Amino acid sequence: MFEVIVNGTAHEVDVDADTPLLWVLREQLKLTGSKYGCGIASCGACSVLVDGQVSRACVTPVSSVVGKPVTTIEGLAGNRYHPIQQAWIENQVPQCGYCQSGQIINTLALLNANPEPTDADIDHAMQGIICRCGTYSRIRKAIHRAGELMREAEES
Amino acid sequence: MSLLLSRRSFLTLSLSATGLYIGAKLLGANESYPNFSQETFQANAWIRVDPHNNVTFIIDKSEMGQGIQTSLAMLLAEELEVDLESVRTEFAPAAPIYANTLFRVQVTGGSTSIESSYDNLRTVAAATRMLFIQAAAKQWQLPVTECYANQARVFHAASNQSVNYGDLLALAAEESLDTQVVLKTADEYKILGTPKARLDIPAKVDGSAIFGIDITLDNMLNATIKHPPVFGSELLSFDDSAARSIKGVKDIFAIPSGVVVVADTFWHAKKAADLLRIQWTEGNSDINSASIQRSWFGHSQGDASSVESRGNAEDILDESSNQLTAIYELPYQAHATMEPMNCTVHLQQERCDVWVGTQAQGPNHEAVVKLTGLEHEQVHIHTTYLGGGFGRRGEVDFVVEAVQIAQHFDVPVKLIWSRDEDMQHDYYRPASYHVISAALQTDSLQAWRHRIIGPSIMQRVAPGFVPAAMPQWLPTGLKSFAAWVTGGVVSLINDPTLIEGAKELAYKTDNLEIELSHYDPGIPIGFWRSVGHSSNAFVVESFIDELAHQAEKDPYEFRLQLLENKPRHLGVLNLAAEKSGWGSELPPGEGRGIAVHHSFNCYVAQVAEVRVLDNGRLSVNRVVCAIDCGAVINPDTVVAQVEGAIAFGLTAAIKSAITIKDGKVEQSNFHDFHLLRIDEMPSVEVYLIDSPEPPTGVGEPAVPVIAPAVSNAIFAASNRRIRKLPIRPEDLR
Ligand code: FES
Ligand code: FES
Repeated sequence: MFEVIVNGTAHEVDVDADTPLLWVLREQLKLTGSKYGCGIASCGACSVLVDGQVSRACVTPVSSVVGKPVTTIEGLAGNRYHPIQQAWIENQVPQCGYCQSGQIINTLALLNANPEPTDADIDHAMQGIICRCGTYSRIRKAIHRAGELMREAEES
Repeated sequence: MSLLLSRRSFLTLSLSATGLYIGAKLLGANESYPNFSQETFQANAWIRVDPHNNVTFIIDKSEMGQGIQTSLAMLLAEELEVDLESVRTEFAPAAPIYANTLFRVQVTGGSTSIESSYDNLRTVAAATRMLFIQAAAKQWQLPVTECYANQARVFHAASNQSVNYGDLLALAAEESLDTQVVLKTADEYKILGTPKARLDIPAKVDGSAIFGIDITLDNMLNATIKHPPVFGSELLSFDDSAARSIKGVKDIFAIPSGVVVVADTFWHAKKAADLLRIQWTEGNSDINSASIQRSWFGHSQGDASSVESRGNAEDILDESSNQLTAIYELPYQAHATMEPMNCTVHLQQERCDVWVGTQAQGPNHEAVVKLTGLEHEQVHIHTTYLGGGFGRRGEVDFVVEAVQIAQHFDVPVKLIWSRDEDMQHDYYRPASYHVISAALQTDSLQAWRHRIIGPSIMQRVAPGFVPAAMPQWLPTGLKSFAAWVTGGVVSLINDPTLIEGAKELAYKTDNLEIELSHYDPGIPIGFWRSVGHSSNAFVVESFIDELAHQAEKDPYEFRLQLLENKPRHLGVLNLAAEKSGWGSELPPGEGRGIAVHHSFNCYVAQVAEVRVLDNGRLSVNRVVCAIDCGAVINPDTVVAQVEGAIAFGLTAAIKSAITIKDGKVEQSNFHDFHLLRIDEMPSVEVYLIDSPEPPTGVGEPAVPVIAPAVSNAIFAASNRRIRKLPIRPEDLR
């Protein structure tokens, strides 16, 4: 039994210690927003935040996140969309949409650490997250826009 | 435009407590099942209007990121006079009435969705609107001509009356339509042609969009499969003792295509599958990329069939003192959709439910009926969102497997392929080899000969397609494909997938010879975004560039002069050249390349700007794209599809390839099949030609153009001619 805290809620899960967090989220907790793309940490589709840091859930054993807060795409919006989600909608970013939870989670980590990223910062932070549909130009625009929205929200 | 229709032959109505169901037999669609029940009819309607005035549109095409859900809803909303934002959408089940009117089978592909739905869907919507107007006029006892509809409501301005569609259901159900359906003209559009927010995007930013892999059902088991790694090999035996020790494993067994592990969770199934010790027969272990290349060379020397011939290219080329010959090569490519193949099946006594992200409801329906022995009406295909399609999800292989697995259980089973299986058991874009020659005479193209050596996709898929698809007539688009299918004969000569984009050479020449030499090394091949165009446009557009340089002409102007009678080619070519600043100076080490291509009835030109560093490092900085796709439905979707197509084509041009060693695909995941990343994405500018022509699809046509635009730019930057893809740093050092 492991206790995992996902989007603010604690869950007891009965799985082996080596079970990747991704499959705990998807199969035990039925939170299917985090996606399986490669299983070897090379696409970013499974990205979640663990203790505020980006983590590839497909290679993160559940035993390593016990007691640490995990944030998934499902935990982003409160009563309304998170500024990143708003910026994503404004810029009509997703195509098939499969990679987008990973893109958004990585953006969240980037903007938390660096509220006003340059294009080079974006390249560096987002380089690991594949989008086969090629939505990269819009992701870039949306990240700049989300930064703006988050700064505005902070000021008001 | 107007179409003469009577309700008897066209619209079918069915009223129940849940609403008014509007069905239609579309021009070119298949006959429905004989004697269908009211329930079947209602499940297969196009439009449902409920008493609360909710309008639901049943979408017959699959949403894989191309925005079709929204574009089709726009067509409907425009003529039905409802707000786009208020339209609810559902994906259609598999049924003959949803057959793609161009393919005659329910398939999303070939950039046909808009083209096949444009008139049909608007006509259904307009006819439905007219029924509601007639019903209101009757209720008010006022002339129909004085009434109009807006926002799902009928109005009579003079008497200041109005009524919701939802309050007219019973009356409308009794109406018949004996007048002509008149469609709006472009200047009357309120929705079409304006950028609209996509209906699927909100669910795709909060994790709530359901893809096939996300299907979760009560008591569901999870399965995964190991296929024979070597093509052509078969199962000898397997040892599952270690695998069975994994907790949660329910069963391990063989199906015709591999060994399956079924467990409580996918994670357990995958863990167990990795512990299987499987013996396979040797298969075609002698196939290697190098041996394929040697065979190509042999075929380039031997006989070939002529697929297009005029004048006397052969002799002119022999005698010309100004001729050029080059050899081009393209590799196999994987689809590598981000969502690996998966399918969930619940097979019961008298019913089978299939949840799948598919581009091919029709062929899947047929396949499941055949496997289960159930009737068509007992097989229910539930289409989810697709985590990428690109042609891969037009195949039925993984659905067949999921049914074969479900046959062992009473409960639903979800089959998920691991990424490795997905990468190594794709139906790949064929590798091909091209020998191409031309003779120049001052400014003109005197002769052109292009020999294509490659395998036939149609030869593989034809047996499945032919019985389901027998067109009686053909509107536009994919004529060659459909004509080929109509014949019902496996005629390799006519397989359009190998010669499209080469056969119909746009450049003016009196002497032309296009030849085909079939060579199938035995690697599974299939439809890959833009199919044959993806290879042939690279060859033709690179070679034209070579000829321009041979003729000491500017590559843009050289094209202009050879495209004299091709106004739509010229339109996009000129627009792309102008917007890119063609001819202006670039810093040393940088270059500009241009290419133009016509595919899927759509015209695309691109100018790429690249920088080549001494160490062979290439960056593609900017791409300017002009597109003529006829009338534009949702401009932002066209732009998005062009951006995506450029990323897709650029990946194949500079990043990825599938290679074969000892009968096996060498690549297995994204660490060795590289996809374009954000730092490699050029800035893309898209310009749309304002066109009165009917709309075409836009998912594919921008793919083929980027590889030649980039390789021509590399030549301009570095004097290095690229004749083999993908472009590697060592080619540029
Ligand atoms: S699924 Fe985790 S990085 Fe690809
Ligand atoms: S939107 Fe399809 S993979 Fe990114």
